[in-house]
Amino acid sequence: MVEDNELNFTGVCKIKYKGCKMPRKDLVTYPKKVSYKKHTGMTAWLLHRISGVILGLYLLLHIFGKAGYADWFGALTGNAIARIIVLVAFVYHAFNGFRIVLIDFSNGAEKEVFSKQFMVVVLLTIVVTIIGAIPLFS
Amino acid sequence: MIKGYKYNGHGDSGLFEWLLQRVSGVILIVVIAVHFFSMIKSGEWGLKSIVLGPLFALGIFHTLNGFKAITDDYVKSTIWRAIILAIYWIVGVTAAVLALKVVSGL
Amino acid sequence: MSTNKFVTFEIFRYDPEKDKEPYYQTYKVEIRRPGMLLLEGLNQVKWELDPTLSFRRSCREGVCGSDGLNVNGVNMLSCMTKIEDLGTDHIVIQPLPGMRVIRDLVTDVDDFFQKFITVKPYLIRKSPAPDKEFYQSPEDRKLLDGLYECILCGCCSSSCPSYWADEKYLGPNAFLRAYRYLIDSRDEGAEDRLPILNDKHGVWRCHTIYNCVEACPKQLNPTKAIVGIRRMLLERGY
Repeated sequence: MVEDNELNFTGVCKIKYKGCKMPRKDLVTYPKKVSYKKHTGMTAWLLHRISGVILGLYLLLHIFGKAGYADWFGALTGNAIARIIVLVAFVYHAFNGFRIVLIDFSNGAEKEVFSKQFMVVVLLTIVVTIIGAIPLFS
Repeated sequence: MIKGYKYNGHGDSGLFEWLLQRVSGVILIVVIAVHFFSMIKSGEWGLKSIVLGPLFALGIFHTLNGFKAITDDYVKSTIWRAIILAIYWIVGVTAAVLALKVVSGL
Repeated sequence: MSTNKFVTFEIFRYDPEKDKEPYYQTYKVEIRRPGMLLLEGLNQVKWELDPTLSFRRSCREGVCGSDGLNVNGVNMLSCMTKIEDLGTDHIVIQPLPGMRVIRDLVTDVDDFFQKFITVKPYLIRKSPAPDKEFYQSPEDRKLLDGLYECILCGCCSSSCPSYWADEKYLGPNAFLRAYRYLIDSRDEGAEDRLPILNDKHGVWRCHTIYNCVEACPKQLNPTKAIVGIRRMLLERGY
């Protein structure tokens, strides 16, 4: 828990900060010409979030659907494309999640190691998705 | 003068959620893989309670804890966070009850 | 008469006393020598083209850590970056993200430093001091490599999406500095520091995005420090 900022700015600065249109809280609206570069780790993280949201919604709706409260959902996920999306999301989320576990319980935090690990994750995702997709189409 | 902020680690530190998120994640990889790949064929293994039980329990936790992390990042207002967290709890408990119903109905 | 190359600097401008909205201003900067630094380009703008431009710099050799900037979307020190290494003629220079802008490229690093102080970045001794200096074996000293070199430029913390999202998040820099003392064989302050780090705005907020590692001009690895702190917390059963 953080208590309020105890440090008092000097008088001059305080006036300036009040006039400033960009307090710390409004950082998101900060007008950026170039957004922060998507390094490997940030790409991995964003994909992890997106796939996580897809999987989470899928799981919840799957449970609701199977319990008989969201019949439309079964129809929606009946087609191959929806299944492929969920499959890709799962395979990526699984391998990348495992990579994240390795960061903490192995030496995955090394700069050289993590970018290589991410390439392995991408490769494995492609391979396993194809393997998993074959029975969906045959 | 620089005094520093006052942090005091408390029960709500996030350590437990963090650890459980990792443990459940690893288990979920195995369980969902079994469920998914067996459902493509006969679905015999994928519907056993040893697979579905952890899948539902850990899956709901992992999902909603993940959603909570995302909410913490993007929702600034404390009130909205509390409302969204309450919604997650309601959805989670409902989903758990329904999951029990699904498992027992098999 | 030499045919010198020009690059364009597109610089974030904002003076809260004059401007209602921030804007970007473009300058043509002449490359006057091979391996010209970004800071030399900024000085050229300030000294020859537009004296109203504000930016921080002091030692101009990567030691003081004043001139952290966001260049083409990556945080770096302008005094350690060669313009030619950026690989482009169009250079967008913005203040460090995630920090309040005071004017132009000058950001408010107050919050950043306070978070640094919060983790008690100094040796804490509880046992009585020895007669002479504290002994540290060469092996123990080696553990501190890659941790003590930090110059507090703020590139790491301000590159971190968790730091942008959470005002109270301590940030990679604070963790790196805390870890530097936590694994110091002479330090006895782990009990004081770990509860500060074991917080929902502490180490558990890190999503291992590695922006800090990519941004650090000294090639330090705050993520490794965060992992080390997490292990310590788990081992000690917090």
